Amino acid sequence: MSFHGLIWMKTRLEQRNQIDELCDRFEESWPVSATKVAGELLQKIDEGGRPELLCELITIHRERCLKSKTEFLIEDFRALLPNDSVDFDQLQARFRTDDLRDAATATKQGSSCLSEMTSQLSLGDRIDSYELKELLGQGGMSAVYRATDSRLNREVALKIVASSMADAVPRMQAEARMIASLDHAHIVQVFGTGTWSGGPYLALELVDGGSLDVLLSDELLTARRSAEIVIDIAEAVSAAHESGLIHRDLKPANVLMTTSGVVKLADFGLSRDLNLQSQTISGALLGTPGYMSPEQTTGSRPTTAIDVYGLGGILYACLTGRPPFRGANIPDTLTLIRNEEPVPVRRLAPSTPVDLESICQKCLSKDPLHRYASAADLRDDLAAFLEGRSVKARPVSLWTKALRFSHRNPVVVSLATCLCVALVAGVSGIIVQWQRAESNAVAYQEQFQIAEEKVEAASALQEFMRSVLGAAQAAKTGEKTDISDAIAAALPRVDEAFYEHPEIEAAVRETLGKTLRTLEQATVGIEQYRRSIELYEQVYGRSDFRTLHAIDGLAGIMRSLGNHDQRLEAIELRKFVLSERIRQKGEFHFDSISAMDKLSAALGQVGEFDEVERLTLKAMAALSRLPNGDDRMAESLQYNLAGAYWQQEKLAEARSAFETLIERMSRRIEAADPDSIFRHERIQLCKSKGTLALIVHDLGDVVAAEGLYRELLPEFQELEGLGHRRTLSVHRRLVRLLIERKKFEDALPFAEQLLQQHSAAFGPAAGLTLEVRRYLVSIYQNLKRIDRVEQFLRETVALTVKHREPGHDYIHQAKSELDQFLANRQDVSEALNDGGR
Amino acid sequence: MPLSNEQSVSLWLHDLRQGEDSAAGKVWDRYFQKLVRLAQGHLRNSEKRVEDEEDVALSVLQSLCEGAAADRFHHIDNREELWVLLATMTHRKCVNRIRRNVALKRGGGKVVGEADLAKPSDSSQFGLNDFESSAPTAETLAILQEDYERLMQTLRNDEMRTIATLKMNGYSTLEIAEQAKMSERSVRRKLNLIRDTWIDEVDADV
Repeated sequence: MSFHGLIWMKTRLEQRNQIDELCDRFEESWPVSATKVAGELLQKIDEGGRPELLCELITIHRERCLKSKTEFLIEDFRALLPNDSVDFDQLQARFRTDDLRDAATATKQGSSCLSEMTSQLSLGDRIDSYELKELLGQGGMSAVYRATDSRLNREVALKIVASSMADAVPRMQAEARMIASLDHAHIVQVFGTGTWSGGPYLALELVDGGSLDVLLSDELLTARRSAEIVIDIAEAVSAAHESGLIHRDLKPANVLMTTSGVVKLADFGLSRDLNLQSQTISGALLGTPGYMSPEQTTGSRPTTAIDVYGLGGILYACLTGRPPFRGANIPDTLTLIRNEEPVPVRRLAPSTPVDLESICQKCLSKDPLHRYASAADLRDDLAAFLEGRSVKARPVSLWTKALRFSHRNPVVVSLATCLCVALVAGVSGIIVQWQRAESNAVAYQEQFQIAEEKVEAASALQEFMRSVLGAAQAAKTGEKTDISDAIAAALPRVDEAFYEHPEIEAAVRETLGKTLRTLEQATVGIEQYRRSIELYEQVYGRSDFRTLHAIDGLAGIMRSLGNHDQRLEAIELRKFVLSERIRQKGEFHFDSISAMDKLSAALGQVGEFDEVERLTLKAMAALSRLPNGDDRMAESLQYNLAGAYWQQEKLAEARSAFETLIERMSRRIEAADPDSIFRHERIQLCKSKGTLALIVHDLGDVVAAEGLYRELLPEFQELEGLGHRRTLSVHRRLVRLLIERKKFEDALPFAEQLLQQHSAAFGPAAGLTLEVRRYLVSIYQNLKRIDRVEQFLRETVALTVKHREPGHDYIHQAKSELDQFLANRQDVSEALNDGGR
Repeated sequence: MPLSNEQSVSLWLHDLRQGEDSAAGKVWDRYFQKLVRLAQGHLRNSEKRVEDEEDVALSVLQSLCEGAAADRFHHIDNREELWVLLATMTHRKCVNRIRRNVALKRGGGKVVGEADLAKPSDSSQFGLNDFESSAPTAETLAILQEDYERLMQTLRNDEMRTIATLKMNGYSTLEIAEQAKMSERSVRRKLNLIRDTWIDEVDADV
């Protein structure tokens, strides 16, 4: 080993000892405010050791939570270190592997212990009042006998669990009692519990028609039969949810059938206990986690939504004969569950009706919020499907397409394309798409709900949209004026089009307001927003999120397009929205943070920058406490803060704030799929760099400023074009800076190009163009190209004479500049001549 | 001596971890059993002499014999554990001593040819061949005790030493965790740290 290697080893061991010591302290104080203690301990070690320490602390915390049966939430720890210093996915994957290993050990123990137990039993033996008749099956942790209850002379299935599971007895008994009290036709009944030979046993209703997975291995079910089965299971799950029980392990193997074809859900809440500390891997033990929900793979808190997902999994299996996800091995399958969409049902079973596929897909959404809110809702939608009524679930792929489309396109989407999407996706699609035009994750969530609620009254809106869009299509598409015309034509019709549906009229007016804002038509836009808010208030009340959203929109258009009084009103409106958000959702909610962000924007507009700074810091603190941060929101806040510092002339703070902002944005934009990044986001990034350059220049760091301008100019040229005013402004600043730094050779090509752009953009004798000509004069003079100066100044005079009316100031100015030059040159040459004599 | 002792130890450990069937595993098992028997014999004798109690508590032989008496070494995979490191360190010293003796007999200071040692070794085979070829002796036990105390001194505190001792007594991670009232994770982390500290020490030793 090299000398350096040895040194490194020693340092490494020292650091590991240090980490070990800090872990000891964590263990000593556990469980008292574990997160807080972890945060403090992290401060006690060099930055380099922090990720490793945090991983250790989380692992210890998790182990002790599991052992003490308290809830483990990894989210609490996420905020302790900067985002990407710890790979949480990898950590979770390691936990998964540990669990599998522990479970394998437990099963091995259980299995040998179970064999020992069953070897003592022979048919005809009795366990309490149950006489064993036949061994129906034996797994790793339990064996099931057909048995007769001699007291009631009733046949039961007696499930004997390995005595290594003795810890689980009280809990199993409690749940068994609860299930017994449910007494549901579609849940396998529990007749009694007890212990035998140290392990728990359960006397269960004997269901002897086999399980659904065996049935599915032979045949696929019809759409109708599949829906019927899942309706029954959803009934059962719904009843259990009402009693606070979550199944957590829904899959065809747990759906039993009687000989007459009645389905019964088995292993309710019991199976989990067979898996010791690892709540989620029962499927894995049997070789297939294919029915596990995405949130279970990361060990989040179990909710009823995982059962809704599980029901979707059963439906999927009924229709296709396979689980939603099937990887080569368990880790692969878990990755698929987390990251991929299941193969569409209709690709595997083409005869499946679209509606049923949509229902299934809705259940299997990665995001629990996009699933049915309850098992009962799913049951109702399946019933609607069976009765031929329309279902709530909409074809998901179209949603996704529409979203991806609008995501890629600029603020105003071509209305002609809207029409196509509207015809295919239905009216809810178009609302979402329009609203989506101003990207806002939260608004989207809410709009989605709005759209969902509108479906039954869709035809009126669809008709209206068609007439508007038809008008737009007749005109040339894609240009702002055409869209304005179409909207102008549509406005009068809104009045009577939605007579019976004020809530739709409200949504339409809100959408129109938003579109008018992008068209910079303030007065009409504000009017639309105001009427939209009135209607929302009538229907939902002033505190409803739809109303709040429209109020926020109104504030937005007033802030960006309104006069001073309207800007002040915008602040009041946003203050109201913020207070409502906080009242409804608390300060540490994304919506409240978003409202703070928006209020900051309004405050900034009227120059209240100290208030912006205060509010933004508060919002940032709140955002850091959210379990899943939000990059765009973090950037938006950072931008507000940086801007506020700048405006208050806190230049050093502004510089570092802008640098942070630029670093974040660049990182995100580079990492993202190019299609998913808005063009305006790139422009925003460039603008921030431009501001940073100004600040840096003001701070006197001309080297950094020059670097920034040089980097920025080609970016702006590419994004905005050579002649855009922002491009030209950066271009001018670069040339001025180069002159200031006396880098005349460097400046010359930039200045010549700049002159060309200005002449083209503003005309050859415009004020700005003449300004650029002065830059060139100064460059030529310093480069000692005296002849070129004279020629250039004469040209300027000729241009002003030609393009300006006689007697214009610019002509005088140009002439006097030429005269001055000539006089100076005279002096210089005379001086030279004098010297020569 | 082998060119790289560090390589030798890690390869030796690596071989041991490859499972029960590996040659290294079998050699180690045989050696370890001999060591245990020797220690048991030695301890029986020494008990008659009534050793200092503290000494006994910290005795490597005590650890070895207690573990063997409770049959703990059969249930766990002890091969990658601390015993190997300790025994390797000790054994090297013994082998070095033999080398020196041989060299002296051959006439002072001359570098010993490889054939002079019972199946000596290239670097990767060092541990295996040497363990194979020589049985532990009473002298080995004395050096073992010395090395054990020294290795224990490299650990940070008594808690670490207790955990190392428990491990050498053949307790499982879970048992140690319960006894030391800490998480299994912490026990694993500490054992890894102990092992690496000792590897470092063993390497520095030669």
